Amino acid sequence: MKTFVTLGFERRPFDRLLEAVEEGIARRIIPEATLVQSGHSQCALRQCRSIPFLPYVEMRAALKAAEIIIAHAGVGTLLECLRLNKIPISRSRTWRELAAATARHVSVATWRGA
Amino acid sequence: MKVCLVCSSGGHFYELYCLRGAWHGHDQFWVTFHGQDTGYVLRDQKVYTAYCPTNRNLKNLVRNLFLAWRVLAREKPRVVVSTGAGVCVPFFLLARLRGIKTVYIESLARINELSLTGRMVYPLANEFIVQWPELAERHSKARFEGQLL
Repeated sequence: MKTFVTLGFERRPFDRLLEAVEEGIARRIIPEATLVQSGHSQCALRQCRSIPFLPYVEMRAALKAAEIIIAHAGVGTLLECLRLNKIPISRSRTWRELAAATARHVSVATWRGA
Repeated sequence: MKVCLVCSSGGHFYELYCLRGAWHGHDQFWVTFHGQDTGYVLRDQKVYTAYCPTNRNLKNLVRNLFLAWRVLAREKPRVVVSTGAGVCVPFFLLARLRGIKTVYIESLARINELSLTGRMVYPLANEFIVQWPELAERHSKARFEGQLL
């Protein structure tokens, strides 16, 4: 299954997401990532191929081709995923972060329209 | 009409670029950060590169203030449009002093409260647009005109 992990064009690192992906792959909770776009994160990945940034056109192509996308889910990535008819699944509501709030509302809207 | 488009790279740029139909056919120039997204999408546009990071960064606020002074004096736009983030604050401040219209669109991610940038430009914006109706209900100046979904 094609899995794409992306931190988008965010300028700040997000090592704990990548660490969680590594752990998830090792525990066979999530499929092995085909490609990881790691942005400014410094986390060294042992289980999958990573690249800091993709050219814009390749980034959109990777999102389009992926069957599973694991993302920081800033607004840019989230909107692009929605335009590609991907179904967002939010993270835990205990996280008071941008992506959790946005994805929660978006996932509700998606279910209503499904 | 000449339009000045100000934004950070990343999600703020994505949202502003989604609205490009609004200024289609008008003269335009951009003020943003260089990134993989802006560098490619705006490759044929006139772009001024702003100083980053802007989050709680006084030095870059001052540098962007001087940049705004030069850019607005040289280009003389009719309107400044921005989706944030902090890079737009000096542009909105100087635009208002020069009698240039200002339009701010708050991020889709802001559902229950305004961003810091939104709160700073709230008194400066001629048009203050939000993407969730509950946010418009809480701020008298804010208008809900739909969502970039």
